[in-house]
Amino acid sequence: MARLQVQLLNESSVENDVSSAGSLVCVGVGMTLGSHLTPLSRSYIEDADVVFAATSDGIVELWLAKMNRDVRSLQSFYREGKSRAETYRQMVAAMLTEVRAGKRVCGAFYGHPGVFAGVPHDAIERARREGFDARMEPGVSAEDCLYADLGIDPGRYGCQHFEASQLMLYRRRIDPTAYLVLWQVGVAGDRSLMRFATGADYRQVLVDVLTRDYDPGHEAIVYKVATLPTQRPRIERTTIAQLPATEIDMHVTVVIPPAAPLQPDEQIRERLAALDRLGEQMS
Amino acid sequence: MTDAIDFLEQLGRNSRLRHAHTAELQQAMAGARIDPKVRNALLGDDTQQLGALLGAEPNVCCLIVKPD
Repeated sequence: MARLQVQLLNESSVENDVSSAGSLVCVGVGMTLGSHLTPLSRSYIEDADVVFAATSDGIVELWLAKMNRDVRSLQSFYREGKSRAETYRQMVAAMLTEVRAGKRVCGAFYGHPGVFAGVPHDAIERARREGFDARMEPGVSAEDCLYADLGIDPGRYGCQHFEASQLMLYRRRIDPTAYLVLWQVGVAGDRSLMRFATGADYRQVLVDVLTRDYDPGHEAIVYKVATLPTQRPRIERTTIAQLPATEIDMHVTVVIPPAAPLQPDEQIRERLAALDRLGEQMS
Repeated sequence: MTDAIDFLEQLGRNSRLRHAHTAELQQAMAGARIDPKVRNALLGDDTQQLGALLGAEPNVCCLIVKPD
């Protein structure tokens, strides 16, 4: 026991030495308050000198404030009419300032800090480039919850994920035999990055993009994860054509189920069969 | 009286309550002596009112990625 205590003390001393150089860890707090936070991520939050929080709502921030005395919301950087590119740069800069000051910094992000989350990736890359210890700890993402709530297995037919505006702005190849998951549909088509919502006209453009590959009457599932344990997820089944008329905010994700059966690739199947035959002859 | 945030955390990590029906939630909230206004906000899924009652800052935005 005494040896273990000494060892823990030594590790603690090492941690203190390292922390004097400053460090950054970005953790995911999951999607639902109380349900998803991993023991390791909680430990990072509790042990940090300062925690920067980007959560799904202010109530989750209050929860984090119970784990650490210095929790700073990143919400203050947002402003409608200001480019989110600038907002994200400022968020990264705020975290890096404290890392450079020698503090153990924790970025606590809702969901998974590395899934549809540019700020944690940028902050970690920058910190590492400057020679600081920086890492990411995964969390339960909206994508994970979506699979559970909608009963979807991405391995069954395959699953494509696109940020909605990126799908609109670039020529992407959609595979209608797989699931298609569209993120940030509430700001679909916002080229300025200055809005917190676009609207029906912009979603109609998205519909026009989708109907290059899908029938307008094909199913679209509007999904919103439960962020409080008293909530139920929003699961609204509609059609692609109805998306402009459907209430969709920045929290919503849209899922398009497969629209066509998997197409066998006879040429590849024949090549594989030939290899099988060859193997049988050799054995 | 249990703090509402502590109550929510306990609810979130409790397999018997996480997906409880309204009557069970009401019972749990009564047992924890949660403020009646907070109870109503939780049962009505009025997150704006709940945030105001608990002193949470309203969230401006939740997006943390931009399309390239």
